[in-house]
Amino acid sequence: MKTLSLSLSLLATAASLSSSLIGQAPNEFDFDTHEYGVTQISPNGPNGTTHEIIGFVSYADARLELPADLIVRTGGELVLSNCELIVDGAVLLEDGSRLTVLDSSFLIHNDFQHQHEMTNHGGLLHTERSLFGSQGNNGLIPQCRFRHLRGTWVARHTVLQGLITQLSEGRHGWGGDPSLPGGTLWADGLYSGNRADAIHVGGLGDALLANGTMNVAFYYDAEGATQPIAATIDLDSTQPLSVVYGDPAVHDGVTASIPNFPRRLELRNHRSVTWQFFALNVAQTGPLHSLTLQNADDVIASFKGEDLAGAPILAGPWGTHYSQLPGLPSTGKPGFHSIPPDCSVQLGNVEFRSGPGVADWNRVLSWGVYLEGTGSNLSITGPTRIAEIYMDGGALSLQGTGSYDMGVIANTASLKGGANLTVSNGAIGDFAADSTLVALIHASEDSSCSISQVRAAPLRLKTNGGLSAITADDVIGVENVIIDTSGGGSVQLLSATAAQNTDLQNLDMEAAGNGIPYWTSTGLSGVHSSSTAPGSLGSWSRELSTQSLPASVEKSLNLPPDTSVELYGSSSLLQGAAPQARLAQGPTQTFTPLPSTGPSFERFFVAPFLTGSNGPLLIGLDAASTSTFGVDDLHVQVASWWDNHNLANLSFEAGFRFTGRSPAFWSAPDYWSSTQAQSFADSANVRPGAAAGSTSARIVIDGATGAIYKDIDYLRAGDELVLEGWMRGIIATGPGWVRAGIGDGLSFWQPSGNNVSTQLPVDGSWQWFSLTYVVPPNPTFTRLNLSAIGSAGMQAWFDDLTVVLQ
Amino acid sequence: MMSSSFPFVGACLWLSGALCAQVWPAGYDTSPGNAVMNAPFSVRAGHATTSTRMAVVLDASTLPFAPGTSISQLSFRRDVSYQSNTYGSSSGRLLVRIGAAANPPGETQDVRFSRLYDGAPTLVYNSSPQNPFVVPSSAAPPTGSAPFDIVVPLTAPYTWTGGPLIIDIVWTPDAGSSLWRLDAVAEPRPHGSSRTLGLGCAGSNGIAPTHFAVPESTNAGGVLELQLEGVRYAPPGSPENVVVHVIGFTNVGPALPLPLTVIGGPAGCVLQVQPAFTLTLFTSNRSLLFGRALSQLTLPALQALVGADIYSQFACFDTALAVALPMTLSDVQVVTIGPILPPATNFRSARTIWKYGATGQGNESGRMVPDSYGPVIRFN
Repeated sequence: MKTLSLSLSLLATAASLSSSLIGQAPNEFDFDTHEYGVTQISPNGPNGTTHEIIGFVSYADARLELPADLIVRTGGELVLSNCELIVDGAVLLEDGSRLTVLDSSFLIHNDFQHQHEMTNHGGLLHTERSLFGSQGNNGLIPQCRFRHLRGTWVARHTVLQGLITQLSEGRHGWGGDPSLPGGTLWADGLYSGNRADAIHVGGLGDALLANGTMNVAFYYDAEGATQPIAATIDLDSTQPLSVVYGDPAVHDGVTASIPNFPRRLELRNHRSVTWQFFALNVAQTGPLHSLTLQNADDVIASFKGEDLAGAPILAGPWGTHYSQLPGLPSTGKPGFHSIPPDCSVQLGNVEFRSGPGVADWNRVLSWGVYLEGTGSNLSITGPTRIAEIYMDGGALSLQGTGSYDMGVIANTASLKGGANLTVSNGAIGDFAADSTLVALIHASEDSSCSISQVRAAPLRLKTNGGLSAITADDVIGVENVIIDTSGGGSVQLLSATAAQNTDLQNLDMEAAGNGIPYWTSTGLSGVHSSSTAPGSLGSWSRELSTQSLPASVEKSLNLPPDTSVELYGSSSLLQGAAPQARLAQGPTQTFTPLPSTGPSFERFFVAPFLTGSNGPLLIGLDAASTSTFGVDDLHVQVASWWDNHNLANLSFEAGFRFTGRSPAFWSAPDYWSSTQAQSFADSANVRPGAAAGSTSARIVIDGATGAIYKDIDYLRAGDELVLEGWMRGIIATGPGWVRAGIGDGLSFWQPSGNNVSTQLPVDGSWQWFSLTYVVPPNPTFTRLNLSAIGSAGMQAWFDDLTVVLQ
Repeated sequence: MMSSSFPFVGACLWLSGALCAQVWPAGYDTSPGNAVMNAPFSVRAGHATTSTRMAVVLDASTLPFAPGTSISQLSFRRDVSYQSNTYGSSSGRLLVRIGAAANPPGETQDVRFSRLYDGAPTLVYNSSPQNPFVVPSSAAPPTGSAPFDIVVPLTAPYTWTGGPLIIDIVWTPDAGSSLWRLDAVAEPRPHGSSRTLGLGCAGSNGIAPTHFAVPESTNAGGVLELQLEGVRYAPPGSPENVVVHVIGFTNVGPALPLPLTVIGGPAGCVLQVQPAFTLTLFTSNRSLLFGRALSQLTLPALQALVGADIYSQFACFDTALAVALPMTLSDVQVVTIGPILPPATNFRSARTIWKYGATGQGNESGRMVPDSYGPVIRFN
């Protein structure tokens, strides 16, 4: 170290430090630049669509918008101080450029995911006390990529928002360009803001992350090893870590040795709240890379390799922990598998093991599958959650085993190079209540995708190129599907014809024509009627008259096993005896009498039917002899154990598959959600008179209150719902209550409107309750809430609920 | 300077456990703070929502009352910096939560509101549409501090049991916007700055060595750190393991700029710093891409140094270059030295996380500065 000694005369002309690092008044750090009017920066590039920084350009105390791409040229420098700059375009830092962002917001506007991106080709980026990343419309934050491929990023006390930061990928440079091997990140106080994804430390560029919370995507590169490699990776997300990953033959200060590791990654008192873990360059053959996961709680894991074939290999005593094995073990719905001690999952020559202790469990929330090569031929069968798919050639088959349990979130599912993706018995998209994701399956060039027997959340099926094709059949949730063939290709969303009965068309009885279109009719005639059920959104109902016996109308749905189906609707009896609703599959069938009071429409509800493996589910309305009845506004609710928009599992006998999300692990009974509580099956504490061998739901709350709940979003204003059941509670110290409530939307708990609840002090005894709730006008959704109120550790039990809907 | 020792609380009487008025931080009862805070009562147009959120984490040792104290009221006062500004009255939705913070301010390194808490917070105030919270108007401030005009009577008193305290406020004015700046305190640690003055030249690895000044090292009285990257990687013992750091006080001189071709170097490499002295350093901490070097320079704690410019450039050996002088030059950085600061400490009396366009949901994130920053608060 050198000490600077110099003549004061050299400093005679020194100026005092500018106070530009602070706000309008002294120490006004949180000054809101929205106090300023917007200043537009105009394009100045040769084509009128770019703004180029050539020399030194500085902005201070301003709110700026640039409706163009921003390029900081070699030798150019842009300094923002106390500013907000919104760039509606791409951003490029050329080699030898510099961008300095101090006490400012630097945001790239994106109308949708990945609309624009930022790239560093060798510049020096300095962000300090700033917000950096992506910005959308109306508070939404579509993510965009920051490809930090070369150069240096000095980040100090910077919040990242909506930014997927990629430090190149692999050993050969981005896209095989060795001049783009990955930039350096030198961060102290890099924080994970909204939708900030992660820092993908994937190329040769090194990273130091200190004193922050930004998520880290750890890349393990399986290329180049000549002998088996074993390594342990600590993925603790609950506390800051101090560790230096690297190859001690190359890097200094390594505390966690990974032979052949191509980069240095140092965490210095840094917490990655969500870890991602990528295994790169996975090969079908070659030395085994055995990677032991340590403290992995809801890690997002991925495999990327060329010409991978076969299926994931589950090794170890999985069967002692689970009766149903996973496709890829994931804890995110519809997956429900942690990786047990001494168990592993292997794809190609990379295995993920649970460890390092003999009793250690590890959890992977969801998976990414990245396949290259026409030799790829991979099959994954069983419950799992796959967040992202990229395929360049080859085939990938994804099949659930029941309950639509092949989860394909499809943040992006990108297919090209003749790739073929098959999904069956799956749930495509993000079904989380607060999700704003529109999932994307994008087939380009001559690639294809075949989807069958799936539930769809908001989903875009997009093709590019005349040979690209997507077909989808037996889709529950077709109303959520967006078809986009603007780039060429074809998307076929198969649906029944009016003479067929294999989908959910014409439940509302609005289809024109004689008989009853989209249903199979036997011995019944049908006519349109303008008499509609109260609350119906349509203009027509259907009047059905018996012509001969047997007389019925029927739908035949191809559903996977372990699926719950409820039927709602309105019916009237115009003549003769009342019909009955029938749900049947193979030899199993249930019958529910429809209302019989007269010609006015009344609501009816058919309790959940759980499918098996005996062929299609038949939904029928069976008429008596010499009868005429009206039907309108039918609704078929298809539900799976992993959602809560249903009235299934009111007795809590169906299981408790969901183990919650890290770090709180608010587990829930099947078909329920939970908040601030863990849930367990309890066969030792059941309500008086319960069937032998039955179970109740036991919850243990984390704080002053916790609950399990359902959100029913298909009830009509005026529907009357009677909820009855049993509950009990115990608390170690202080007062406690168990509470059952029904209400509208997130304000369900407020004692206002039609909301109802009953709250009983706990004494350890089972108490019966009954609530009657009338759905108010313009309902948001109906929340059925079972809660405990007291203090952390309080327990409550709920058992054998019944619901009557009328 | 705010005290980090336990404050004197004897000036206030304790009656039946009720808290007499105590002002945080100590000593600011009548003295104005040195900072301004816009959150939470300033809401400007153009954000995703019309709510502003502010969560302040207070260090236990600076709280002007003892553990076990029940807090029944929070009050805030306006700033004195905007002397000519009056603030209008507004009404709206106010939501206040208080709880135990997960970490003291000095160790707060998260901007997700939900992760700031240790356990669940207590909702201590939640206005209703029928009884909105009213922020009073405020005249231009008098000499000295302003009165505590914003008074939040807690509907559920909160008992502080020790440890760092967090107060989380979400404000949504009915009119969609409001402006009311709070009196606040801060302990800023402004540092110097740096700029790139000239480009380096690429070596045989295709990379021009570049460097940067570690921002927080640029104060007079500290140790200036300049980190170099991009040196050609070569095995130990190679000339590439050594670099020469050229430091000067000007980039103007009779021989500058000096192309290295004049002395047998490669084309495109130009010395742009008038050397005052040089340091010879070993590379270390190399990556697969290149070698690195860290140059450390102790800066005297001289006021005359504040604002001075130091020019920096590195010379790096690259024996793969087929020239007489196989050497590349890095880019040129000019570092403007920041003010003299007391020694750095991890202690912070307060950290504030703020969010304009807030939703009030737990998982949203705000912004934060690394220094102590918090509103002046009167506790009852």
